[in-house]
Amino acid sequence: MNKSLKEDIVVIQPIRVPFWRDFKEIFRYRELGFFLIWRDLKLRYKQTILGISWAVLQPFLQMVVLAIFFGRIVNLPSQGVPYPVFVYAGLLPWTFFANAVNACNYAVINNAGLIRKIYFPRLLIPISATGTGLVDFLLAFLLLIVIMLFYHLPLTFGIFGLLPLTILLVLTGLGVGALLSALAVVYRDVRHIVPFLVQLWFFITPVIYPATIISDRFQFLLNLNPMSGIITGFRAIILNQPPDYSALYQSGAIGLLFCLAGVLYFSRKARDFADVV
Amino acid sequence: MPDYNAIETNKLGKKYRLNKALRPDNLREAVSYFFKSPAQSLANIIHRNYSPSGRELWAIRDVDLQVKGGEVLGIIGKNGAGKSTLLKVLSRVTEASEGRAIVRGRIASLLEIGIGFHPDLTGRENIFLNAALLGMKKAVVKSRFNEIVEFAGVSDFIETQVKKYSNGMFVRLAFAIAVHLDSEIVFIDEVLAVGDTDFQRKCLNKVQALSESGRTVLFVSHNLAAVERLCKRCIVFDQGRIGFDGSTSQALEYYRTNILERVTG
Repeated sequence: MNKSLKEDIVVIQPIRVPFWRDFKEIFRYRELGFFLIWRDLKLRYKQTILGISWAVLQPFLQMVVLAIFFGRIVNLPSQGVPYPVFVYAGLLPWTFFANAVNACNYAVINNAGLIRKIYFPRLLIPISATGTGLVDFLLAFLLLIVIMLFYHLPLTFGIFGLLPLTILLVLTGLGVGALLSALAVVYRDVRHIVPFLVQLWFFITPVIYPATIISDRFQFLLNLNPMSGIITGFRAIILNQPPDYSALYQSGAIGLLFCLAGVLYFSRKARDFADVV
Repeated sequence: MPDYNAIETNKLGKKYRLNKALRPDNLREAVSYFFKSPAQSLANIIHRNYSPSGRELWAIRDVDLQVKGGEVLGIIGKNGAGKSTLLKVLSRVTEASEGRAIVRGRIASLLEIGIGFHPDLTGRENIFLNAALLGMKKAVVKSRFNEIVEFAGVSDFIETQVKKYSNGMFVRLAFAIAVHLDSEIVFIDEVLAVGDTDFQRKCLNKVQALSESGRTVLFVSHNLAAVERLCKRCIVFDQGRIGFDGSTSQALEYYRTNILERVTG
């Protein structure tokens, strides 16, 4: 037997394998992950005139609409900075999160044919769905810099503080996305609940309003929402203000918990996806 | 021929649950089910295979099989006899319910033609995507790209979206990808039924060449002539179990007298 074969021995047994095996498999199949992301990006913008610029246009148009309604008409407070910057700083991470959760949900359905016929680490589905969103996020980030320059906001090295926050954001999005998409396979109803849930989640997250309009007594409730701490953190860094660390730690811990729970639940349920999806 | 078992199974079985009521699949059912029989739903949560009264179907059971490296094994049997389920369990698409199997080598599995092909992507794009799905490295695909395209006979259409391909071109491309990759084991499930006779002959030759290069092939087909030509050894599936395992000529004989006769007679 040659050497490469020794690495490719698979034992098939109806027992639960330790979860870190899944991560080993994902690493082995990492090229497929990149291909799935590439496929989704390619298909999404195929046959559109504006192509990939939609990734920037979508959050931009959303910002314009929100700035008119909530900035001008409702006159929501915005911590002393122009409302468009304020809202875009929140929209940027929020859009990533919302897209990740929805994309995971659809990805499992759209790849049902693959799941039924081909073996690959199933976790690659939510991972690549989230990864596709990350590309959009990076493009939308470029627009943020343009907006900051437009409003003459100082661009400092503090912006690198967004890096750990982005990692937390990605893990949270992946966790919630994986959790809901696995639930959606087991309980079909969840599939229809997810878009509604995401919309509801938007309103309990300080995206269009500052976290400070909630009284101090209820701040802890606000920060049970992992996206709350992440978004106020994003905004603080972008606007060059000191972040609320206690909110960040609380939300961060819950976000990581979501990630762990989502990934473990998904990889457990994925073992019989082929029979139920 | 290398001397090792590429595939070994021991009492391998796959069970499907037919009675859906025992395992609710939407929230309303789950909730109402929980109140109707809390003990059962708790049991379901704790032990996912628990089903005291649900009807079960063993798609395959007690499968003991050894396939040597480099062997071409024919698998025949009626529809629903368990041929495809065996391939699915071995390729890890679905989980085994009991028993054990050891697979040595990577599997390229052609369970269905063109699975993973996206109609909006071009032939070239689909080759890379499909190969990645079969677990192959991009570098390997690159080095064999021309060979694949030439074998499939789609050189002029490689930058065309596959939705504009004819059925035959589609099948040829999918087959070409699977047999040109460097996996040690190839599963072919009834894919030669499509394509014209010319291409069918080409495929049969290719499968033969694969085995000569030391690849292990599991070949599921209703085309008994093809099985006879390609495989020295053949197993016959009968209601989820291996009814016969031996030389192809005897297997075909067994299949004709014991299984086909039973249906018609």
